[in-house]
Amino acid sequence: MNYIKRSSYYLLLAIPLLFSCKKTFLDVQATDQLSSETVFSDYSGGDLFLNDIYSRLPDAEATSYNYDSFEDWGDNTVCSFHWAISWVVSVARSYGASTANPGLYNHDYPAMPFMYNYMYQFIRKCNLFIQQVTEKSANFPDTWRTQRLAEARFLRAFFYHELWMAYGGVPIVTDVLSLQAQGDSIFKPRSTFDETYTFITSELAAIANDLAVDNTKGKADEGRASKGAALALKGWVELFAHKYTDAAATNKQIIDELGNGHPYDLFPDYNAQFLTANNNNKETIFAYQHEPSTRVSYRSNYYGPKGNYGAWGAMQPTQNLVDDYAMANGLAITDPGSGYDPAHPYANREPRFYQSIIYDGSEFAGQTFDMKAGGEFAINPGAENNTGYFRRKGIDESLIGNLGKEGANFIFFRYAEVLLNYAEAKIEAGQTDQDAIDAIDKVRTRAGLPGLQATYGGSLTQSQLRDIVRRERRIELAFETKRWWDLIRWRNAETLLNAPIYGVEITQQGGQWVYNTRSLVHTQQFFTKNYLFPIYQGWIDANSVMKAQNGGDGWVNGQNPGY
Amino acid sequence: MWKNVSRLYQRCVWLLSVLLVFFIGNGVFAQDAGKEMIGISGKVSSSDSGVALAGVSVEVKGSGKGTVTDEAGLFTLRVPAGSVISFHFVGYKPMERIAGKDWSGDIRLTPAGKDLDEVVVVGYGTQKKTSTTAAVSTLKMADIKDAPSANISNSLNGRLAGVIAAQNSGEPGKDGAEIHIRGVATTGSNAPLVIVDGVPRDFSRLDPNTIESFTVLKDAAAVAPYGMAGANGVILVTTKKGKSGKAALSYNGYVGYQNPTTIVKMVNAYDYVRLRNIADANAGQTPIFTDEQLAGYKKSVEHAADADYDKYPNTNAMDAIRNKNTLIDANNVSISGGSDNTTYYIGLGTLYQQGLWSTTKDKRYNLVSNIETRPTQTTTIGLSINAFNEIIDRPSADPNQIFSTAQAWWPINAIRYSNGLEAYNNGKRILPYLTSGSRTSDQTKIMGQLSVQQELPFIKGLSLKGVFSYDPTTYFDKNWGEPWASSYSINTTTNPYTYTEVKVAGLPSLGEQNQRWKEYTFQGFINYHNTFGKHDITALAVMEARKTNWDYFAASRGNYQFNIPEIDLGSSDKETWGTGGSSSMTRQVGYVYRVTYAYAGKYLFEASGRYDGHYYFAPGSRYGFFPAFSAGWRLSEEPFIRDNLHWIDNLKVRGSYGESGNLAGAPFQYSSAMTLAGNVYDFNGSVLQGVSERAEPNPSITWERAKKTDVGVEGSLWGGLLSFTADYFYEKRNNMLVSPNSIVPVEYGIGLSQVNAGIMSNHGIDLSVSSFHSFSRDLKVSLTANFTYAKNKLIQTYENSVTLNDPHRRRTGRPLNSQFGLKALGLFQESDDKNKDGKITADDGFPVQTFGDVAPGDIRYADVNGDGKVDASDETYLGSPILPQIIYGFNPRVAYKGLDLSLLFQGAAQSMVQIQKELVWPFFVGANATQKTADDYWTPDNPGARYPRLFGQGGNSNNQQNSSWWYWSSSYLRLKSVELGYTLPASVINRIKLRSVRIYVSGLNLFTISPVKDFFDPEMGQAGGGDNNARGWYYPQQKVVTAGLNVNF
Repeated sequence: MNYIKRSSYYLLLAIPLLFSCKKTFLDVQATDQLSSETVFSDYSGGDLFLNDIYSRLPDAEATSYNYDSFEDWGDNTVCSFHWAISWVVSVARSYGASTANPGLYNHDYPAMPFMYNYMYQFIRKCNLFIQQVTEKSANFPDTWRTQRLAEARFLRAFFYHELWMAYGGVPIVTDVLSLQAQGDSIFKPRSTFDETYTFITSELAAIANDLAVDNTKGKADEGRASKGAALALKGWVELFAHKYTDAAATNKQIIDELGNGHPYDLFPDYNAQFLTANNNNKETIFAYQHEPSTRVSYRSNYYGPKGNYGAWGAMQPTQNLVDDYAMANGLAITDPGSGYDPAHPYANREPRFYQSIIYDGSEFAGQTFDMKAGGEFAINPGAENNTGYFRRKGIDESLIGNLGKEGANFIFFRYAEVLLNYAEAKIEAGQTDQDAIDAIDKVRTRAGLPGLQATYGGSLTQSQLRDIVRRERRIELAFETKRWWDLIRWRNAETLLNAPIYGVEITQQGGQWVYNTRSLVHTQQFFTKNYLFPIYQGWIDANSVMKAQNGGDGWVNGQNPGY
Repeated sequence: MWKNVSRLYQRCVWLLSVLLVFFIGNGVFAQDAGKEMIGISGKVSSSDSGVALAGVSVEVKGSGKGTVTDEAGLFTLRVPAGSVISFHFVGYKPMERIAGKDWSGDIRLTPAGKDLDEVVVVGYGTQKKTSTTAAVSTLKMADIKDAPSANISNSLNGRLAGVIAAQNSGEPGKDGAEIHIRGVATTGSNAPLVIVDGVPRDFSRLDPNTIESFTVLKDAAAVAPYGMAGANGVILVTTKKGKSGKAALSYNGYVGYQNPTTIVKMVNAYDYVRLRNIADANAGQTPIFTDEQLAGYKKSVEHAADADYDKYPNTNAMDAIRNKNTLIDANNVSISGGSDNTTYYIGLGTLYQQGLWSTTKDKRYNLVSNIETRPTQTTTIGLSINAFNEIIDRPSADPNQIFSTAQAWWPINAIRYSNGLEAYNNGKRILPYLTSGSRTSDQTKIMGQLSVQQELPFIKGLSLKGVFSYDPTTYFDKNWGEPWASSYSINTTTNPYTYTEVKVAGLPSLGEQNQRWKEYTFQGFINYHNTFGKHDITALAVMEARKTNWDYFAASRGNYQFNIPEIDLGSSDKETWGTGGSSSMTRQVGYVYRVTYAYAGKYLFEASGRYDGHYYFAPGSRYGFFPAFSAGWRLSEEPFIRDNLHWIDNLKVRGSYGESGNLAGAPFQYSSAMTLAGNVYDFNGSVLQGVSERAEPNPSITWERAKKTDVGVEGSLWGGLLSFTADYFYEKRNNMLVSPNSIVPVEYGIGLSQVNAGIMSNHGIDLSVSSFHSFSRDLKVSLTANFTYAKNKLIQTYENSVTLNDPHRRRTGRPLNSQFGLKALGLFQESDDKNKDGKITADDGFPVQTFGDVAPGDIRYADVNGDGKVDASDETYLGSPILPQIIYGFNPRVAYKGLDLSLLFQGAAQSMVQIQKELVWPFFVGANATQKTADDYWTPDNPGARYPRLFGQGGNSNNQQNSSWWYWSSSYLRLKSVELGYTLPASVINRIKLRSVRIYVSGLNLFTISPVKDFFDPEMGQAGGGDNNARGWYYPQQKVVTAGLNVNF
């Protein structure tokens, strides 16, 4: 029995042994997290935090919901799917922003680039970065700190400008909110449209000179927010706010200080500038950065044509857009002297038409597109071919068979827009001088069109110039998600977004192919209240201070008029 | 720290090895060196009536030698001194006696119904059923042995009072049940703790044949030993151990076929085009299908002689991919036996189950070896190994994706043309989901456990026990993606039609991942049991330490030139490579005690609890104490009952109060933490990492604390004719982790960590009743039934002021997950459009509905707050949560001669589920329409329709609001299982030298009554599962019919 006794003692020993190591037994280190002290201990950690903020920019071409592009909300394009939000919204214009069903906001970010809740998440990131880098300034080299703080403030202004365009004035949060430290003062009132405008533009003015000057290909600051980016955003915001004199001055500053190849200028090939190989070319002022392995773009995959190329064909150009492409002689097709022939609508159009649109008889990626009745891509809503057109601009033919590997940047601002912004601001400010015309001509010339003088001769009135610059802008920036905001700021959405959307139906009549360019795709609705987007009721309910506010800027009883 | 931890385990392992060597050595020396034979005799009678029992089997345990009693209940036998004599008789509890100098020939067998010595498994031990003061229910596997359930977790539903189980999915390998004990008592995790043979483990993959019993611990007295893991209840699973005696070989196997319980019926091509034209016209759009197309599809649907199926296809994607009558097959062979000193149970089980489509199947092997040896009279050593390997094959695509694609499939799209080529349909295809690529997961788990128990002879009743368990698990997953095969577009303007190949470019890719878990548990027990006169005392102390480690590693390559799925054979272009990896660990430690005191076997007192520590929380707030107290009174032992009311066999009332904990949330919520992610952004052409803030930390975060009260009564009457257990329970859960996000504005920009601020109560009853009666030797009938009612109430939570201040919308004070929405009053009729402008507006005298244009045929809502418009603020309370508040089962059985029949009906009530989107909104976001909606949508001629007017493809925003219109009661009653068996008579068996043979047929989920069953299986609705279930995107539960054979050699 000795064995038993001895072993029993060992067993008894076991219990105190276990007690003896309890103090450290429960210490487990998380292997998937970092502390803020670690992250902001030096500049490389700070860069990682800023990378994340850059990645939150509303990249219109790279997430799952982007098959229903924000471009489809305007009159340039329609989505292939009739159930898509853009389609439903444009037909019924019923935003249904109720608590029970967010309706409109079923769509995801960044297909809707201005989503209120997301913007404030990103703004917090900017505020946190600014707070941490400022507090721990000793950890960072001065030059790094100055530039990166300016980048964070630029990004914050960018997110605010999306909110401001969509909702008008919004609460301005510039510090890191803390329920524990701040109590009820975390509830911020909604600022007015003008206050928000002033915040955005003054921020951009304050930081522009701290940013890199050259962010083009091969430079150390390639792809980062630059001085040009800050000024382009500021000039655009001023234009949006109808502050035409300011907008003209800001855009002029870009042209004078940063244009003509220092570092920006127009890229010689209109369409090639969008391809992966030409990322961050000299025309790109600010773009969402992609590369073809893991940070890919879905532009060609979603918006490229169906058929052998294998893309979704989800962004289909409307006849409304196609009609605005000029003739090769520079005149609009509505101009009696344009030479437009309805029986041959695709003949003698301006070069950008052929670079932007796949139409009946176009060749793309080795396939000839047959849009005639009975043909594979003819208008057929049942097959989700809605307009008789596909998008060509920016679609990379060489990606056939490899559509998931596109590295093309999504461009927020490019030099051509700065020129057009400048021209438009000047025209609206009544300064219809040669400077304005030169800016338009520069864009037209690059596109292979004659200048305004050569096209129209004589002098053009402000009203004529306005029409010209607006049409020029529509064509030059087609598919770049600019159209909606243009219609909003021009206050002509009620006209253009109440007009029917057309496609082309090509039928054989008496041995001839006849082009019906008034084939109805769908009718639209747009009401005055829709100039602003509604704020989802739940977002308002969560902010008692905002909910209590009344009056001013269409702000009625806690809700935007778009409701 | 690492040093300490590793030292601890070194010590533990060393200690156990030493013990093992000593005991085995000791055992060898202590072997009995031959025994003297003695003669024994006796009389066997029934303990209640005193009647002599004839034909009782009397056997020397482990030797196979024995005899049977004669007509007078008498027997004689020569046996080795000290051997164990066992007595078995049908309808009576078996009994064992030791043949020695204390031998008494008076053997009284207790009828099964009056089983006073029955032992129940409780936390860290066992207790006599009569003396337990806690609320526990037990299910013996022998009672449900042949229900053909691939996943054992589905066997509990309807069998046990207090247990609410619902199967989440019917997909092979992923078909486990979601289990709640006594309903939902917290906003956090409601999962009960599952313990297999004393150690926290998953039981869902065990071979049902190897399980002895399930015990469910429900009240504080029962769960207190599990500390902060016990508040949601505990399920104890006990596996089979060997029984001493001659080796008994047993085979059990069945084969059967399966079909889904529910497949939603979709409209045909003609109805599709017809209804879509109506829907588009209602939405103000131009109908897109011409009369010619309508006529063409009509012909195809009607199989007209001149139907043109290539131009006007009529297809059903689900039927095209689904196999019917899929196979399920399970086999188990086990051997059990042993000598006086050593017993063993070893078994091998196999399961083979086919899925709904050809590429899904599940294969599982279970291996069990439970060995127990007593090297000395006071020492017991057990080694248990329970292992399984499961290989699941399935398509590369997720089932939800396949179901959503099949359900949304337009019936006007061809699947194959008449010439056999696969159709292109603008890229919409269903077949490649099954034919392109494949996914295999392969999981192996070994549950290994060594225990050593030593009685200490120098203190009577004291014993020590050490348990060490090591459970390694490996999981391997291989996902092979292939580009879809070519399909063909069709041009119907040519004659004959032309078919153009559409190639899908690309090359195969492969992703593999390995995951590895290692779980270690150490338990040290001190047990004490002694009796001093009428005083009976037990005491238990346990120290338990547990650690688990997990790591993960993944690799992938693309652009395979050959269809050989091996990582090395993929492209050498590093652009196409991917890797991933991570790891985590857990630690916990607890100190358990339990003390019981019984006076005269009728006044019972118990105190138990645990001091528990967990790594989830900040240093300094890691340990908590969870005590419980209970008492019982066995009235049936009091003279006034025992002497007067003979029909009461057993009657006990008991009560308990205590506290237990629930670990909710996630680890490290106490620390301010940021997350590092790869592939976040890209500068200068290189991909970069990014860091983001996770959530605001909560340094004081801690466990939930439950205060549980239970009052119960249990009894057995008329010799087993009626037994019952009934419990009332009340629980208040404090410290629930709730999110304060609703009190910060959206502009705050980040989620807050949860805080321990929620309070919830839960109360109800659970009840089980059983009755057993033998009408004759041949005819026996029994009925068992159980009923559970549990209703919770949110007492304190974070709620934003908008709903809190509105009595219609307030969440606080109502059951958790109560349903809220607009109250639908019906559909607007043409007569409601008083000014005949085609719209319903304020001009027609109705409150303005603010969700878009409204016309006759749209849903009319109540203006609950009377402000003249219907909007979100008119949301109101609609009814019960998804999880039923009532669940019940009843199980009648009849046995006549060799035939036995067992039925299990199971049901649930007081639950509501929302059915929406594709299931009831025709053409929603480009989908198809269900037949139900096509049969009964509103038109002026069908004013009483169940479904509103058709409207476009996106649907009408007014009709898609969250409203009572779309809530169904998800109560149900189903024939959960049927089993009919025939046991071959002894005369036949003896001739073929077998011990017993039983053949049986059984069925699972054979029929169901439920308002929702046209759309999905009601258990699925019950499980919640979010949006995918409400849309019918899930792998349905299976209806199974099997035939089986059970042979004992």
